[in-house]
Amino acid sequence: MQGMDPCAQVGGNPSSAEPGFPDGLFGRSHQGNGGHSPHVIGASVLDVGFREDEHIRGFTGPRAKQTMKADLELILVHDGRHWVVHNDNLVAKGEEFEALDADLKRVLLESSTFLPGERVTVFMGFDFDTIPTWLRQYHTHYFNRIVTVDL
Amino acid sequence: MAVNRKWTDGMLSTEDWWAVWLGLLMFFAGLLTIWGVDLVGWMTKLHTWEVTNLLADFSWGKLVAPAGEAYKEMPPFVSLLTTYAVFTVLVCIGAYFQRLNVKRFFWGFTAIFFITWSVWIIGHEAHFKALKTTQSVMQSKIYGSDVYCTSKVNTCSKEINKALKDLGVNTAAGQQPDAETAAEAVDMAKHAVSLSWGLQLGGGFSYMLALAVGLIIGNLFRGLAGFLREAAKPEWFIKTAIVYLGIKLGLMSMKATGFAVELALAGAAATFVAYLLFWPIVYTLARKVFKLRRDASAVLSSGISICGVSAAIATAGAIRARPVLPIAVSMLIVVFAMFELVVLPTAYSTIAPDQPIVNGAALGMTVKTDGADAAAGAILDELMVANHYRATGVQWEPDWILSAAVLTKIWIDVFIGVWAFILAIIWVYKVDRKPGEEHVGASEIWFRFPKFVIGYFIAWFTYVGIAVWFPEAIKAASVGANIVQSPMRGMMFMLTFVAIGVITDFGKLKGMGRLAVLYAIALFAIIAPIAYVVAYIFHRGMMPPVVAGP
Repeated sequence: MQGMDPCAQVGGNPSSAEPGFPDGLFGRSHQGNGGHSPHVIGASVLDVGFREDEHIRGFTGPRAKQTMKADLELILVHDGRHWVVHNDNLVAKGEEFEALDADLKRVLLESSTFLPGERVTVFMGFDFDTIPTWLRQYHTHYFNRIVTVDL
Repeated sequence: MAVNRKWTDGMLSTEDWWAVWLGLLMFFAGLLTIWGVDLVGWMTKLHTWEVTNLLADFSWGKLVAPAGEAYKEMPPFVSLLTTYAVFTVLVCIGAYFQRLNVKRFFWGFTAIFFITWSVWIIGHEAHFKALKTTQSVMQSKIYGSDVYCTSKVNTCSKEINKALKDLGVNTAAGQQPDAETAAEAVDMAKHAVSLSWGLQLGGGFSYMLALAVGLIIGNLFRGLAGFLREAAKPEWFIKTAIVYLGIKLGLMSMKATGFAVELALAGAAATFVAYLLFWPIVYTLARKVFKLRRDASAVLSSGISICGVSAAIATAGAIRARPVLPIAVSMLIVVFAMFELVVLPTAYSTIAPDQPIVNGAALGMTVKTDGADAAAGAILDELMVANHYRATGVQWEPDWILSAAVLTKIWIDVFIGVWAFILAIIWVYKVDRKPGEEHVGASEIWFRFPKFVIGYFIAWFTYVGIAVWFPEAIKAASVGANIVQSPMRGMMFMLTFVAIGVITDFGKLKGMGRLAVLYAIALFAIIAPIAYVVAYIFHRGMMPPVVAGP
């Protein structure tokens, strides 16, 4: 069905390394294989909003106070086949969330920013710009994930 | 890149919020008439015109005029250009912050604006729009059956009765004129006109014409539709119009507070009951009969049974479905909404002409997408008011039927966030439980809350507050409010009709297979009948106030 790939709606360049994604989305160090840069992952702790409230409401259990902020913030998109998370310097992908989370764990382990055995809280914010333009007027939010990865 | 993180995200970048800003901007501008400042009177209003009269002596003043008394010296065409300039600047600012292509948006909006106004002016031709005078409906043997009114029918009645009084016939005392005197009185009445034929469609003709023009462009002139598409934003236009409708409901509440509250509560209760019935039935049908996957069934069930595109996306997001799923379902919803918009108002007004509020509420629960619902409500309102007047000579106050349709839909919209949150909890913690410790944030409810509803309630309750606490300000407040809620709201409705037609491409139904069949069955065999029964249970006996009658 033409126009069904949501990522193609954001000016995706057919000649880019990841068909259907905008230019430069993955950066030069990622050739679509989950590559990473060892120097920048988790460089800053980002406020992802509302989580304090969520934790107070008990959605995250007794560790709530320890995970008030995400250690890593990533953009989440779907390329028509895979769920993909990325920031300027890393990318991980998987057909299902389980595979995505496993790939992310692999990418994080390969980096030197987080140490094995460390617990990393990851905020994955869905990029609503990847929803087709004509559809965005009807609704403005898809979903966000907060995942804890034990390295 | 657009990711919702904080509760303030999207306030400048989404059409939902921009409907609030455009709505409240004009709302506050209109309020200034309380202090004698008219910042909205430049808005163009339309006159009902008659073609031979216009061709005999053309002037823009026969077609349009500035709506505000303070601007009565403004040339009509300048008023139209001012309306264009003000709204074009405002929507282009909104388009810029929504990161649309402003240049394409500007040209697209300009084209849509002038198409809309051309259609709207044509729709005000007396043969299409004008209703017969009360005298012509009730006493055709004396007055003839060909006397139509180019203003409100009670205005014409007063003019004719005054003319009769001047001619020595006091109708208030029970006196009746002869046919010759009656004809003379009709000639003297400013807004009465004799026509050889008339469709008496009220404002409904403009809406249907705008929709037809939009659909013709969208399906037969695809190149032009592509050019217009950047600015064809029916949801933005209608949500802005719904904020303006909040003003109207506020004004109506001043006169009928109890009825407005009753309508709102009945709408909320009916919506809640309908939710509990629609979703499980459609979900079961999708799973058991059509053998759809669990995620597809959930998304489709929400789309069909709750609130169209918004619910489909909210549900898909809640259950973490691949985005392609809500996109496919949304295509179905948008196309089917057009069928609902065309079929249901005529069907309801024909089948149940004596149940105006029930029909409006049923429409709100059946028609998906805010744009199609409000558009269908507007057509239903015009049709039912005109039909009832033709049949009985009694004219219901306009916009109550539309309000019933919109109020029901708004409750549905408000509940989307809660429903999506419940589904998210069920999916993440039960259906799709993974060891990865994924959390569902309460923020998801807020992100999915329809923000334009905030503007609607602010406008509504402000005018109720004025009526309760500052009754001496009602008259002055009504001056600005009537401009915003009438010609401005009407224009946003008309823009919606053209835009919704432009973006509806029936070709999208190709290849939808089982989904389309399921959608059609669920909509017409399950949703529409149940919605009507629920609407009847909660709204039966409710009738709009009467503004004119024998």
